[in-house]
Amino acid sequence: MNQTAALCALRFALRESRSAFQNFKIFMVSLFLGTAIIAGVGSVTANISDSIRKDGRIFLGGDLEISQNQQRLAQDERTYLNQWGMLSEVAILRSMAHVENDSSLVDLKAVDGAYPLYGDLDLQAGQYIPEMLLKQGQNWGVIISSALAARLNLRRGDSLSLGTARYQVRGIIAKEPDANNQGFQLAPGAIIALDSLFENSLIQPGSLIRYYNRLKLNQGINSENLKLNIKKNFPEKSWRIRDSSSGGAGLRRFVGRMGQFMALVGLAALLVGGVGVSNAVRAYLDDKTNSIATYKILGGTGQLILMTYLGQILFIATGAILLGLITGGLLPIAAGEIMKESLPIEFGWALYPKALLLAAFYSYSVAVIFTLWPLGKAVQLPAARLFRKTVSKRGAIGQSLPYIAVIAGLLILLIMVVIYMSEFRMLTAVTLASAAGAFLILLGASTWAKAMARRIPRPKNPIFRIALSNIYRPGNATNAIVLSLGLGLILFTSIALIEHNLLREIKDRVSGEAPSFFFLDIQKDQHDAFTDYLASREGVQRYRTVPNLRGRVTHVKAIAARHAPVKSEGKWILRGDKGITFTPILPADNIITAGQWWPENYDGPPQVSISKQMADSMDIAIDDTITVNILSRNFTLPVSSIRSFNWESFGINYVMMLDPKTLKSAPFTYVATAKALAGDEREIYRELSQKFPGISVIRMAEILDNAVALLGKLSASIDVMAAITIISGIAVLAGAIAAGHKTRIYDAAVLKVVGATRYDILKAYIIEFILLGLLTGAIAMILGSLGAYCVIKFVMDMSWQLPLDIPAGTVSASVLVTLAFGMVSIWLAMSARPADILRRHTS
Amino acid sequence: MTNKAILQLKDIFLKFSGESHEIEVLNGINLDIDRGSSVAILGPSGSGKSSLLSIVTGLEKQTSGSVTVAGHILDHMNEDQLALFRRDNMGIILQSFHLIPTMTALENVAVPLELAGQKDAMATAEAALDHVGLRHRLAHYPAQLSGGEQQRVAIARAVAPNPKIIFADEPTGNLDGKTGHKIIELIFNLQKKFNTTLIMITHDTQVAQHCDRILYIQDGLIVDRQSQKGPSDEEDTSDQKSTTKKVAE
Repeated sequence: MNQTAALCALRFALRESRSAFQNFKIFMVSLFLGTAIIAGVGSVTANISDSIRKDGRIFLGGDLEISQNQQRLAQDERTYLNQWGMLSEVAILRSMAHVENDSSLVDLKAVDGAYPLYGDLDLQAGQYIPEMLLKQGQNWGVIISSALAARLNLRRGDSLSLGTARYQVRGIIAKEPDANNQGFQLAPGAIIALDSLFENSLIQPGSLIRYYNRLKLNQGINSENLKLNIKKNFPEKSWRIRDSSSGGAGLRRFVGRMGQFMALVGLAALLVGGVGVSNAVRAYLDDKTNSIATYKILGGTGQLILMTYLGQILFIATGAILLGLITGGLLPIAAGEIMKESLPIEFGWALYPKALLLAAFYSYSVAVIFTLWPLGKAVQLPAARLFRKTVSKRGAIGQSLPYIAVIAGLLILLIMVVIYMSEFRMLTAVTLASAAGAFLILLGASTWAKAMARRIPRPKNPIFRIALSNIYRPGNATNAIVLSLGLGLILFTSIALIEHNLLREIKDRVSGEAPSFFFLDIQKDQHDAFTDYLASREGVQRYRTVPNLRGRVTHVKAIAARHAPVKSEGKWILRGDKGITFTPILPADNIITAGQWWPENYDGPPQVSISKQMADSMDIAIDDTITVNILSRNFTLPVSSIRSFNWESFGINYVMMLDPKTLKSAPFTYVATAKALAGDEREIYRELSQKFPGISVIRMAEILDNAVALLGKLSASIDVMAAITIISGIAVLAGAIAAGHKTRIYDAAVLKVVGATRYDILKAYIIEFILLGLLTGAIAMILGSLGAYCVIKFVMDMSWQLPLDIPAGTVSASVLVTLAFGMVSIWLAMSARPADILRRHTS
Repeated sequence: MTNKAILQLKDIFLKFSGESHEIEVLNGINLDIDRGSSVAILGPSGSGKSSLLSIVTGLEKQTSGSVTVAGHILDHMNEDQLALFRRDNMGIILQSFHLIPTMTALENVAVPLELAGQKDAMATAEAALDHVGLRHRLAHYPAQLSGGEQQRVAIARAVAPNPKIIFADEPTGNLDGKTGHKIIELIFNLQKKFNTTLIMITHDTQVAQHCDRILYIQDGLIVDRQSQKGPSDEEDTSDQKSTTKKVAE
């Protein structure tokens, strides 16, 4: 294209744009929404990750953290560390908190006077000072979480027991600076003085307690160098050493994953918006056919006309996209305000060019992809239609090939970029493929429905005839309505069905197979009394106790764990300490798949039985060795057998089980499970808590409630994203219905002239919209159910159930939404005066 | 084709495939039109007048036959080449004006000039509008103009590039009698002023009387030719294969 033609195209585009904006409202809304979501999600995610990274030491609780199980630092180790900065010690353990008539499991944090090294421990009332936790009279101090306060109905000044010591509530936590460092918490939290632990029965040999030693480094000390120094000076220690870059790593991972998911949903909303773009462009160009033909008559080439209108459309798109980018770019400010209560970091605001550029690229790609086809068709319109509207040859397929090639090329590029930018490429690819598949199926189903409507024997009733023919007549909105609403409804139906089946599975499993209680920290000297109680207590159906220690795999087949080749499904086994047990008898739900189980009275050298998952993921065979550090002793153990078992049975399962002799004399505690009748659970819980105050009791019913609540929160955020896709679809639906508005008005005028009443016209349109709503709802119901079925059966491997209320809800929602928007159009059509309409139509 | 001829049609046939049978629109048109002359094409609805016009303007391709305009054979030109040819050689006035609604009168007239890359397009357009008596309507949009004014803008647009041929398809079809009269006067005045060839489709025999030649077309054939200015041009048809018949007066 030469410069003259390019300048002409630009000039014509600007002139055409003078009154064009009113035709592009839905076009702009569609692009704005998709752009704002993607830009916003990208910016918020980057902002949170940056803020967490910047304040990593607050999350970690120090510049450096050295942690280990069950052992405090020796004095020389403290002395060594003290030279580099201020040292603070924190112990984390689980315990039972008891008040007069109730008890609760508690995640306990015992801190020293230097805590917190970074950040502030904020209380609901008053200010935290370390002295609050010290002993005053008979009571130590405790600061409890609001969850524990609610659970045990506690206020400031109330008392409770932890172990054998009494504590007075001296504050309720508002914000804990290193709360996210502990990962997932099973129970509500409480903070006590470290010194109080040593007056307590909470620490016993074998207790599940982990000590964290945090350093606030002196000026000029580099944490990386210090880490190396520590490993060099204490090579035998199985300490876990982390620096502030690890601070909040789990949260960053979670935020990143949520961000990925939300970006995908934003892209889905943008794709739905693409349908709106296509509709708007088609409707606009339908009005421009005479202008296009005029340009051709006056000497405009196809290329010039294409550039004129493409330029105009992109100019309008730029306005919407810019607005979306600004909104998305500013979203971190709002997000920071919302999240500052729950996250202990300072949210600054910054521009994230990568997130904005990506959003702009996606939006422009969608705009061009969905514009080119209707634009190409319009450009190919023969100018001769100005002379003869009824008989005009359609463009040959050869003329469409360049457009098809460009659209295909852009689509492939868009898909490649989306997948490349994603952390979970396979998941993203599957999601995009599913969305594309859903689109094609929706389009195919809509086309099939139109063909069927055409083939149905023409109804005798003219109202029904009009309603049915409106579905397939030239210029119908059927495809647009089905596509715009369909995708959002498919997503919503799938999510609802997956949630339903997930919750049902959790509740069924827990009420069926799962034990009623898990017990931790049962001391050796309590074991017999504990089992006697369970054996004799009415209402207890079964129980099991197992010795328990903590250990860490340091070597696999003589290769250090951090260098050992491990498949992704086994990496968790090498991360941190894991539970280890020893037993003479193979547990009932374990099956030997290789090697041999030891005899009950085994008296030979140490050996270990490992899980099939561990063996497969680390390529371990019988007689290969693993080295495990237990209570600071390294045990190099040959594998004598490999077992398979089902984690989902809720039994006490162990990846590593040692022979009955090796650890018999080690300091260990017992863990146990018990199944009780539902009606006796509360009473048993209360009795056990009183009889054995040092034993931590986990009620499955409470865990289930927490899990359901967590699932509810997660699903709420997922539902919000699905709703955004539906809102985008509704905007497009409104546009699709509005696009047919003029035709509807004209039809209504003509019908009135030939004698139809307003009620007749109303009936025809209502029937039309109900049919369209039913069609869309039915397709969404089928595809949504199919999608959910695949996820439940093949991804989650659970049983499937189809509740009728969800599909019925989908179809109802579809009909109601289509009818609601249709009614606006119908009302306007009915109100127009026939004479005015017909006069305008002929002039 | 004679040296004087600006337009030559040879054995023009136009056929479409209908649902059940073939539709024959033009059935063998042969025609020469002299440079600088004015020709009226008369005929009933459906006779093929508009189809003939769309073929000679390159807006539609004939099924068979040959079209030569100003020495250029249009038959093998592609769509873009035809558009450029129209831009440089033809002015077209349509019954429904077909102004671009989002452009002012001045901008509408300037379009073919801008397409041709003329640097003083706006000035030329202004002069053209002056010729048609619309100097005071330069900044008005088509919706702000009367039917007669819109047609005058369309005329100005057609003559502004100084085309070799002006085609007018029922230029007064959407106008009242008095206005239509003025428009016709204007068209012929401009034709004489710019010394272009004029080919006009019309129902109105009185309008046709203004032209140098009148062609009657019926059922896709030229059935009668009358010259207002000289002997009948029957000699032009002597080697034609098409049949002719007198139109009942």
